[in-house]
Amino acid sequence: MENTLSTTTDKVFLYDVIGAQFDTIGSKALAVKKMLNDYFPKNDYLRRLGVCVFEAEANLAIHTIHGGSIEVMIFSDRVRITAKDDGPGMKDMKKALTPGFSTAPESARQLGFGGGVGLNNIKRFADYFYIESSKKGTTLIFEVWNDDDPTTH
Amino acid sequence: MTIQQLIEQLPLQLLTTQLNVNGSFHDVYTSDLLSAALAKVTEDHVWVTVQVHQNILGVASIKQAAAIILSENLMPDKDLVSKAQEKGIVILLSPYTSFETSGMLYNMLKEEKNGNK
Ligand SMILES: Nc1ncnc2c1ncn2[C@@H]1O[C@H](COP(=O)(O)OP(=O)(O)OP(=O)(O)O)[C@@H](O)[C@H]1O
Ligand SMILES: [Mg+2]
Repeated sequence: MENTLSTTTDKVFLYDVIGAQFDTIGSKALAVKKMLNDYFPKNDYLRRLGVCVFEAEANLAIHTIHGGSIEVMIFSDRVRITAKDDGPGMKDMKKALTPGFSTAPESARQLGFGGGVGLNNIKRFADYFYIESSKKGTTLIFEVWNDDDPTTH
Repeated sequence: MTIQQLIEQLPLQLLTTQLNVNGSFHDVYTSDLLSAALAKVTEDHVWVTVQVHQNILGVASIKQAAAIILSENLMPDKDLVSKAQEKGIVILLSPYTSFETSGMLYNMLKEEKNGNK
Protein backbone atom coordinates (compact mmCIF):
# COMPACT_ATOMS: atom_id res chain seq x y z
CA MET A 1 0.00 0.00 0.00
CA GLU A 2 2.77 2.39 0.86
CA ASN A 3 4.49 1.76 -2.44
CA THR A 4 1.57 2.98 -4.47
CA LEU A 5 1.51 6.19 -2.47
CA SER A 6 5.19 6.94 -2.75
CA THR A 7 5.00 7.04 -6.54
CA THR A 8 2.61 9.99 -6.44
CA THR A 9 4.64 12.36 -4.33
CA ASP A 10 8.21 12.95 -3.35
CA LYS A 11 7.43 15.49 -0.68
CA VAL A 12 7.35 13.80 2.69
CA PHE A 13 8.13 15.46 6.01
CA LEU A 14 8.46 13.70 9.34
CA TYR A 15 7.89 15.15 12.80
CA ASP A 16 8.46 13.39 16.12
CA VAL A 17 6.18 13.92 19.09
CA ILE A 18 7.53 13.21 22.56
CA GLY A 19 5.31 11.21 24.89
CA ALA A 20 3.99 12.63 28.18
CA GLN A 21 5.29 16.11 27.43
CA PHE A 22 2.29 18.40 27.48
CA ASP A 23 3.71 21.90 27.48
CA THR A 24 5.02 21.65 23.92
CA ILE A 25 1.76 20.34 22.44
CA GLY A 26 0.97 22.50 19.45
CA SER A 27 4.56 23.20 18.47
CA LYS A 28 4.63 20.49 15.79
CA ALA A 29 1.24 21.56 14.47
CA LEU A 30 2.55 25.11 14.10
CA ALA A 31 5.73 23.88 12.40
CA VAL A 32 3.66 21.84 9.93
CA LYS A 33 1.38 24.77 9.24
CA LYS A 34 4.35 27.04 8.61
CA MET A 35 6.06 24.51 6.33
CA LEU A 36 2.87 23.98 4.30
CA ASN A 37 2.47 27.69 3.73
CA ASP A 38 5.03 27.38 0.90
CA TYR A 39 2.84 24.83 -0.85
CA PHE A 40 -0.67 26.04 -0.01
CA PRO A 41 -0.62 29.74 0.86
CA LYS A 42 -4.27 29.75 1.85
CA ASN A 43 -5.28 30.73 5.37
CA ASP A 44 -8.49 28.74 5.55
CA TYR A 45 -6.92 25.58 4.27
CA LEU A 46 -3.94 25.88 6.60
CA ARG A 47 -6.18 26.51 9.59
CA ARG A 48 -8.15 23.34 8.89
CA LEU A 49 -4.95 21.37 8.61
CA GLY A 50 -3.55 23.04 11.71
CA VAL A 51 -6.52 21.99 13.82
CA CYS A 52 -6.24 18.37 12.69
CA VAL A 53 -2.49 18.16 13.24
CA PHE A 54 -2.83 19.80 16.67
CA GLU A 55 -5.34 17.13 17.71
CA ALA A 56 -3.16 14.30 16.36
CA GLU A 57 -0.12 15.76 18.11
CA ALA A 58 -2.02 16.12 21.40
CA ASN A 59 -3.14 12.49 21.27
CA LEU A 60 0.40 11.26 20.66
CA ALA A 61 1.67 13.30 23.60
CA ILE A 62 -1.15 12.38 25.98
CA HIS A 63 -2.35 8.88 25.15
CA THR A 64 0.80 6.94 24.19
CA ILE A 65 3.73 5.36 26.00
CA HIS A 66 6.58 6.69 23.86
CA GLY A 67 5.00 9.43 21.81
CA GLY A 68 5.00 8.88 18.06
CA SER A 69 5.51 10.36 14.64
CA ILE A 70 3.57 12.60 12.31
CA GLU A 71 4.24 12.12 8.62
CA VAL A 72 3.13 14.81 6.22
CA MET A 73 2.75 13.90 2.55
CA ILE A 74 2.16 16.69 0.11
CA PHE A 75 0.23 16.14 -3.11
CA SER A 76 -0.74 18.79 -5.61
CA ASP A 77 -4.32 18.89 -4.40
CA ARG A 78 -4.16 17.58 -0.83
CA VAL A 79 -2.09 16.82 2.22
CA ARG A 80 -2.11 13.41 3.84
CA ILE A 81 -1.11 13.11 7.49
CA THR A 82 -0.20 9.82 9.15
CA ALA A 83 0.16 9.78 12.94
CA LYS A 84 1.67 6.60 14.34
CA ASP A 85 2.61 5.31 17.75
CA ASP A 86 3.59 1.99 19.32
CA GLY A 87 0.97 1.64 22.00
CA PRO A 88 -0.87 1.07 24.20
CA GLY A 89 -3.66 1.44 21.63
CA MET A 90 -7.34 2.08 22.16
CA LYS A 91 -9.26 -0.39 24.27
CA ASP A 92 -12.54 0.40 22.58
CA MET A 93 -12.48 2.23 19.27
CA LYS A 94 -16.21 2.94 19.25
CA LYS A 95 -16.01 4.61 22.64
CA ALA A 96 -12.89 6.54 21.65
CA LEU A 97 -14.75 8.03 18.71
CA THR A 98 -17.72 9.02 20.86
CA PRO A 99 -17.66 12.75 21.66
CA GLY A 100 -17.08 13.30 25.36
CA PHE A 101 -15.32 10.00 26.02
CA SER A 102 -11.78 10.51 27.28
CA THR A 103 -9.14 8.60 29.20
CA ALA A 104 -6.90 11.67 29.50
CA PRO A 105 -5.12 11.83 32.87
CA GLU A 106 -5.97 14.57 35.36
CA SER A 107 -2.67 16.34 34.58
CA ALA A 108 -3.79 16.79 30.96
CA ARG A 109 -7.35 17.75 31.90
CA GLN A 110 -6.07 20.59 34.03
CA LEU A 111 -4.54 22.06 30.89
CA GLY A 112 -7.79 21.93 28.96
CA PHE A 113 -7.27 18.61 27.21
CA GLY A 114 -9.54 15.61 27.70
CA GLY A 115 -12.84 16.96 26.42
CA GLY A 116 -13.01 13.85 24.29
CA VAL A 117 -13.64 15.69 21.05
CA GLY A 118 -10.21 15.78 19.41
CA LEU A 119 -10.77 12.87 17.04
CA ASN A 120 -14.17 14.28 16.16
CA ASN A 121 -12.54 17.60 15.32
CA ILE A 122 -10.28 15.80 12.87
CA LYS A 123 -13.25 13.97 11.37
CA ARG A 124 -15.04 17.26 10.96
CA PHE A 125 -12.20 19.29 9.45
CA ALA A 126 -10.61 16.57 7.32
CA ASP A 127 -11.93 15.14 4.06
CA TYR A 128 -10.70 11.62 4.66
CA PHE A 129 -10.33 9.85 8.01
CA TYR A 130 -9.02 6.40 8.86
CA ILE A 131 -7.94 4.94 12.16
CA GLU A 132 -6.80 1.53 13.32
CA SER A 133 -5.59 0.50 16.71
CA SER A 134 -4.28 -2.52 18.56
CA LYS A 135 -2.11 -3.10 21.61
CA LYS A 136 0.88 -2.63 19.31
CA GLY A 137 -0.14 0.87 18.47
CA THR A 138 -2.46 3.27 16.72
CA THR A 139 -2.34 4.57 13.16
CA LEU A 140 -4.39 7.57 12.22
CA ILE A 141 -4.52 8.73 8.61
CA PHE A 142 -6.36 11.77 7.39
CA GLU A 143 -6.34 14.03 4.37
CA VAL A 144 -7.32 17.63 3.91
CA TRP A 145 -8.14 18.52 0.34
CA ASN A 146 -7.47 21.83 -1.25
CA ASP A 147 -10.97 22.64 -2.44
CA ASP A 148 -9.86 25.29 -4.91
CA ASP A 149 -8.34 22.63 -7.05
CA PRO A 150 -10.98 21.31 -9.49
CA THR A 151 -9.21 17.95 -9.76
CA THR A 152 -10.04 17.17 -6.12
CA HIS A 153 -13.67 16.28 -6.64
CA MET B 1 -15.11 46.52 17.23
CA THR B 2 -11.36 46.94 17.53
CA ILE B 3 -9.22 45.43 20.28
CA GLN B 4 -8.32 48.97 21.30
CA GLN B 5 -11.99 49.85 21.86
CA LEU B 6 -12.45 46.63 23.80
CA ILE B 7 -9.53 47.44 26.08
CA GLU B 8 -10.87 50.92 26.80
CA GLN B 9 -14.51 49.99 27.29
CA LEU B 10 -14.33 46.97 29.59
CA PRO B 11 -11.60 47.94 30.67
CA LEU B 12 -8.91 45.30 30.19
CA GLN B 13 -5.19 45.25 30.72
CA LEU B 14 -3.02 44.69 27.66
CA LEU B 15 -0.24 42.25 28.59
CA THR B 16 1.39 42.03 25.17
CA THR B 17 2.27 45.70 25.19
CA GLN B 18 4.46 45.47 22.11
CA LEU B 19 1.67 44.32 19.86
CA ASN B 20 -0.64 46.60 17.95
CA VAL B 21 -4.30 46.55 18.90
CA ASN B 22 -5.88 47.89 15.74
CA GLY B 23 -7.25 44.47 14.80
CA SER B 24 -10.98 43.96 14.97
CA PHE B 25 -13.36 41.16 15.95
CA HIS B 26 -17.07 40.47 15.68
CA ASP B 27 -17.55 37.47 17.89
CA VAL B 28 -16.46 35.91 21.17
CA TYR B 29 -15.95 32.29 22.15
CA THR B 30 -15.62 31.20 25.76
CA SER B 31 -14.24 27.79 26.71
CA ASP B 32 -11.46 26.20 28.71
CA LEU B 33 -11.40 23.10 26.54
CA LEU B 34 -8.68 23.44 23.95
CA SER B 35 -10.39 21.17 21.42
CA ALA B 36 -13.57 23.25 21.67
CA ALA B 37 -11.63 26.45 21.07
CA LEU B 38 -9.77 24.84 18.18
CA ALA B 39 -13.08 23.97 16.56
CA LYS B 40 -14.86 27.29 17.10
CA VAL B 41 -12.42 30.19 17.32
CA THR B 42 -11.67 32.05 14.09
CA GLU B 43 -9.64 35.15 13.17
CA ASP B 44 -12.81 37.10 13.85
CA HIS B 45 -12.99 35.92 17.48
CA VAL B 46 -11.74 36.93 20.85
CA TRP B 47 -11.26 33.84 23.01
CA VAL B 48 -12.09 33.99 26.73
CA THR B 49 -10.48 31.37 29.00
CA VAL B 50 -8.96 30.73 32.41
CA GLN B 51 -6.19 28.55 30.95
CA VAL B 52 -2.86 30.32 31.31
CA HIS B 53 -0.38 27.80 29.98
CA GLN B 54 1.66 27.59 26.78
CA ASN B 55 -0.80 25.42 24.87
CA ILE B 56 -3.30 28.27 24.48
CA LEU B 57 -0.78 30.03 22.23
CA GLY B 58 -0.72 27.05 19.88
CA VAL B 59 -4.50 27.05 19.66
CA ALA B 60 -4.75 30.82 19.17
CA SER B 61 -2.05 30.96 16.57
CA ILE B 62 -3.37 28.02 14.55
CA LYS B 63 -6.79 29.69 14.43
CA GLN B 64 -5.32 33.23 14.24
CA ALA B 65 -7.60 34.47 17.01
CA ALA B 66 -7.88 38.25 17.27
CA ALA B 67 -6.98 38.08 20.98
CA ILE B 68 -7.12 35.93 24.11
CA ILE B 69 -8.77 37.29 27.25
CA LEU B 70 -7.62 35.68 30.50
CA SER B 71 -10.35 36.11 33.06
CA GLU B 72 -10.25 36.46 36.86
CA ASN B 73 -6.98 38.36 36.69
CA LEU B 74 -5.14 35.09 36.09
CA MET B 75 -1.72 36.44 35.37
CA PRO B 76 0.35 34.15 33.11
CA ASP B 77 4.10 33.93 33.58
CA LYS B 78 6.43 36.27 31.70
CA ASP B 79 7.53 33.50 29.40
CA LEU B 80 4.00 33.08 28.02
CA VAL B 81 3.66 36.81 27.43
CA SER B 82 6.96 37.04 25.58
CA LYS B 83 6.13 33.98 23.47
CA ALA B 84 2.73 35.49 22.68
CA GLN B 85 4.48 38.65 21.60
CA GLU B 86 6.79 36.65 19.32
CA LYS B 87 3.82 34.89 17.78
CA GLY B 88 1.80 38.09 17.47
CA ILE B 89 -1.02 36.95 19.76
CA VAL B 90 -2.66 39.73 21.76
CA ILE B 91 -3.19 38.76 25.43
CA LEU B 92 -5.61 40.73 27.59
CA LEU B 93 -6.30 40.42 31.29
CA SER B 94 -9.80 40.76 32.72
CA PRO B 95 -10.63 41.21 36.42
CA TYR B 96 -14.01 39.55 35.88
CA THR B 97 -15.00 35.90 35.64
CA SER B 98 -15.37 34.32 32.19
CA PHE B 99 -19.14 34.57 32.58
CA GLU B 100 -19.05 38.26 33.46
CA THR B 101 -16.48 39.08 30.80
CA SER B 102 -18.50 37.25 28.15
CA GLY B 103 -21.71 38.95 29.27
CA MET B 104 -20.19 42.40 28.94
CA LEU B 105 -18.75 41.54 25.56
CA TYR B 106 -22.10 40.20 24.43
CA ASN B 107 -23.77 43.49 25.25
CA MET B 108 -21.02 45.55 23.67
CA LEU B 109 -21.19 43.62 20.42
CA LYS B 110 -24.98 43.80 20.41
CA GLU B 111 -24.93 47.54 20.97
CA GLU B 112 -22.42 47.97 18.20
CA LYS B 113 -24.63 45.98 15.83
CA ASN B 114 -27.71 48.00 16.72
CA GLY B 115 -25.78 51.24 16.40
CA ASN B 116 -24.68 50.32 12.90
CA LYS B 117 -28.22 49.79 11.70
N1 LIG C 1 -2.90 7.52 19.86
C1 LIG C 1 -3.75 7.02 20.78
N2 LIG C 1 -3.43 5.90 21.48
C2 LIG C 1 -4.27 5.38 22.40
N3 LIG C 1 -5.48 5.90 22.68
C3 LIG C 1 -5.85 7.00 22.01
C4 LIG C 1 -5.03 7.63 21.03
N4 LIG C 1 -5.68 8.70 20.53
C5 LIG C 1 -6.86 8.74 21.18
N5 LIG C 1 -6.97 7.73 22.06
C6 LIG C 1 -8.14 7.42 22.91
O1 LIG C 1 -9.30 7.98 22.33
C7 LIG C 1 -9.91 8.88 23.26
C8 LIG C 1 -10.57 10.02 22.52
O2 LIG C 1 -9.60 10.82 21.86
P1 LIG C 1 -9.94 12.35 21.50
O3 LIG C 1 -8.75 12.97 20.88
O4 LIG C 1 -11.20 12.38 20.73
O5 LIG C 1 -10.26 12.99 22.94
P2 LIG C 1 -9.22 13.31 24.12
O6 LIG C 1 -7.84 13.30 23.60
O7 LIG C 1 -9.51 12.39 25.24
O8 LIG C 1 -9.66 14.78 24.53
P3 LIG C 1 -9.47 16.12 23.62
O9 LIG C 1 -8.89 15.68 22.32
O10 LIG C 1 -10.83 16.69 23.49
O11 LIG C 1 -8.53 16.97 24.39
C9 LIG C 1 -8.80 9.28 24.21
O12 LIG C 1 -9.27 9.72 25.46
C10 LIG C 1 -8.02 7.98 24.33
O13 LIG C 1 -8.65 7.07 25.21
MG1 LIG D 1 -7.34 14.37 21.86
